[in-house]
Amino acid sequence: MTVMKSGIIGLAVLGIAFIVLLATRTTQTNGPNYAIVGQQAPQIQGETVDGEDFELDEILLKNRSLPISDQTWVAVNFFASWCSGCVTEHSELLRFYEEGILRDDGIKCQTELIGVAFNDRLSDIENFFKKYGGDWPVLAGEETNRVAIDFSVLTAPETVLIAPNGLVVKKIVGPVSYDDLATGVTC
Amino acid sequence: MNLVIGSFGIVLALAGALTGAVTIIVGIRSPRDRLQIIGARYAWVAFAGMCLSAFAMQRALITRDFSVQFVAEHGSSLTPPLYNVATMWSALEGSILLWGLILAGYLAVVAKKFSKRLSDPMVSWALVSMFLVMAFFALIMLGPANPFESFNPPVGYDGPGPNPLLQNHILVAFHPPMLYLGYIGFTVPFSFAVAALITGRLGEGWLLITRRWTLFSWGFLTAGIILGAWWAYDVLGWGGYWGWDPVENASLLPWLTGTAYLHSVLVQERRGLLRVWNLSLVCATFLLTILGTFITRSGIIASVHAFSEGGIGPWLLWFFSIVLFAVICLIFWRGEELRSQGGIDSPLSREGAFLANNLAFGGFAFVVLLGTVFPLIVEALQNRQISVGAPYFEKMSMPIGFSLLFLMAVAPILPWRKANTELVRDRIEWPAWGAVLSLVLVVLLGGRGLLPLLGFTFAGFAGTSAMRHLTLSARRNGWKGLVGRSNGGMVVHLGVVFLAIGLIGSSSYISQGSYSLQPGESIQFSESTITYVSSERLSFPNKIQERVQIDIDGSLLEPSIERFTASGQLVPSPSTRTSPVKDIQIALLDPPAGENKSIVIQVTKQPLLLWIWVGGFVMLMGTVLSAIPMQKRKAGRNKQRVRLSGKKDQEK
Repeated sequence: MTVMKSGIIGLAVLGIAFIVLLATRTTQTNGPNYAIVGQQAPQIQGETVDGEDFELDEILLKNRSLPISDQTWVAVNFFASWCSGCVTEHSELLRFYEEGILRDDGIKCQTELIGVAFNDRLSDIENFFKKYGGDWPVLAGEETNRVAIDFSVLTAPETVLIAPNGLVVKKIVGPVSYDDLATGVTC
Repeated sequence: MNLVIGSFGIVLALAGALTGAVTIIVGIRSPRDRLQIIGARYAWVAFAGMCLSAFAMQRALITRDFSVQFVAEHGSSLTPPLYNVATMWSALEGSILLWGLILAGYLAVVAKKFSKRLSDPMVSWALVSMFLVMAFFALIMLGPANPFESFNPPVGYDGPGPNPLLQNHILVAFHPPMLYLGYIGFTVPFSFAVAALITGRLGEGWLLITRRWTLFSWGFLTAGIILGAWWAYDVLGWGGYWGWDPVENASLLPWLTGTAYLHSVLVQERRGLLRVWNLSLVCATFLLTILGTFITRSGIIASVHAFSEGGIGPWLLWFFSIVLFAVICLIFWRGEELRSQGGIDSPLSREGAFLANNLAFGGFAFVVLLGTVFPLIVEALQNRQISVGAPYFEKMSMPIGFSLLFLMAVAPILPWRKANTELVRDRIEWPAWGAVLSLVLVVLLGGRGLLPLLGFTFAGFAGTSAMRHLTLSARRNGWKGLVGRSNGGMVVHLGVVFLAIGLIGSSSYISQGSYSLQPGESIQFSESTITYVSSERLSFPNKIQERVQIDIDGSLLEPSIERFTASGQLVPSPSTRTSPVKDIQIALLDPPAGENKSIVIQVTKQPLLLWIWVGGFVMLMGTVLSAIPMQKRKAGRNKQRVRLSGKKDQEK
């Protein structure tokens, strides 16, 4: 075999190694991260747009003293006023917030909806809700970045459903539908 | 409506590209050349398809048709008209659409340009390669980067508009298209290189055919890179123009290999040497454009430019792999036939200098590629995250840059084959004096520091060498002494010298400081007095601008911070006082605050920075001059050219 051919083969081997290297790297925007499903939900704590304190643990602690049917399911919606998917899903969230989820026997499940604003400004969030309706608590400000990281949220919108025992049971990446939430809640 | 037109256009382009490729392949195998001629016509079908899609996207952006998801996510009723047009390439899907449009344009121009030689297998295979690349990009647009996804906007919906950084400088409209014209233009020489390998016509024919295509692609890429640097300098306000960001590196890589190729091709044309090397360089340049696109779009490397979509990555990596192995297999297959007869007689010759030049450019490309992907290698081997910053690139690129300046001075004075020392001594006299004079001049003007002085000396050396060549040529041929490949090349060299002067001056003698000021307050910066005069707030449909007036030695600068209504993002707009001697840029870090309206500004002084842009302009002028033939070819020479790319190749 000539030197040239050996060189070409060497180059091909290097090429393969390089492609394998590129192909096996995780992309920083490698799509949704569902690893959180089945895990205990990270703490959510902060101030809402209306200036009230919110703490997920409070709801979960309260659940412990209630019969299962009265325990609260929490949907956490990561959104932003600038994202088109958030506009799309808003009517679905509004329905979830207003109608709640009904069991087969017609009894309404206990649910709560929390919005977590993602890279957004307070005035824009307020305008967003004025325009599209809804008045569920919304966390905003610096600490929401921490919450988004804890829940492995890459971009808005993403929604996480937390069971009364604090386990994350569902994560919906992209616009959420009422049915997505309804099928997740099993009160 | 736009959705339908746009999607139809992409399907049309895909169908045109695939049908064209198949028709030509069948045509090559059949004894009649009719099919090859028909196949080439599908280039126009692909082009029409892409034009239709681009038209639909522009129409959707202009009419704010939010039923197109791309427009819903990146368009806005508040975006000014120019940036509205540029919104198309402000995000992934639209930028791939622009890619497809330009590629289809090149395809159509190649089909037109070679319309009389469509039965030539070299042209046919080149068209097949281009059709296949076109088909791949059309396929991406129907898959992970579909610009025509539908969206159901609620009543009163308005999109956020493009990233605010992409809507406050006119260069946004030109930098990406220029870069793409360069990037994608390299598909043409690549396709002809593949055609040469397939047909076995490995002589100099394909080089001659693609000479101008390569030159223009290189020129566009140069313009795109320089405009990008200019945009960064004018918009970002950190005083810099090049940050060695992975995406910037991705544009530099094909430029480096492309530049190496432009030089080494001369050795093959003149001496028939470096055949494998030239084929490899052309293929590497094309592959690096794909790799660059992969890096930009896949998000595997953190970058300020990266688009935040992941779906397209695997597609591009597959494409990259297939092309890489196709090229390697073809070169392996042709192995022995590619062997050049003879070798370089003496290192002290033009071809010896070009070889050294190629080693320097190759080394430079390797250094940049290694620095760019090194974080990935470390992550794979040691499972830890690192980043390779500007110090590595600067440390590595400086000696290479200096040696390139040195070679730029020496190569033009060396004759082909072998130089005798007397001749070299005679020819090097001017450039050597130029180097000495530059050093003395820079020291007299206050230049200090070993490395910058060395840099200016080499720049003087290279500049005088280019001037010597041009003066002698102009003396012989009048104004025609400035056109033609070697003379135009020397003008490009002059541009590089200006660019080097700008780079060395601005990076070696930069001074920067941040100051908090109240209205009427002055500070002393370097030799300048800077006074905060006043401030004002201006409202625009899409933004609110906080603008301050700052007096600097009697002239007024107006840096501002803009808050974009749709996203709430703050974007500073620095203001610069430019002169051939120095640039002073003021960026407003904190807008007027409190009752006394105090501000925080950052002042950056960079000597000679203007020469970077002057250098870029001269390089482009040189590129255009290179493409003008020195004298009109006579009919006889034209015939010879056809023979050269046809029969003569087959003989080899």
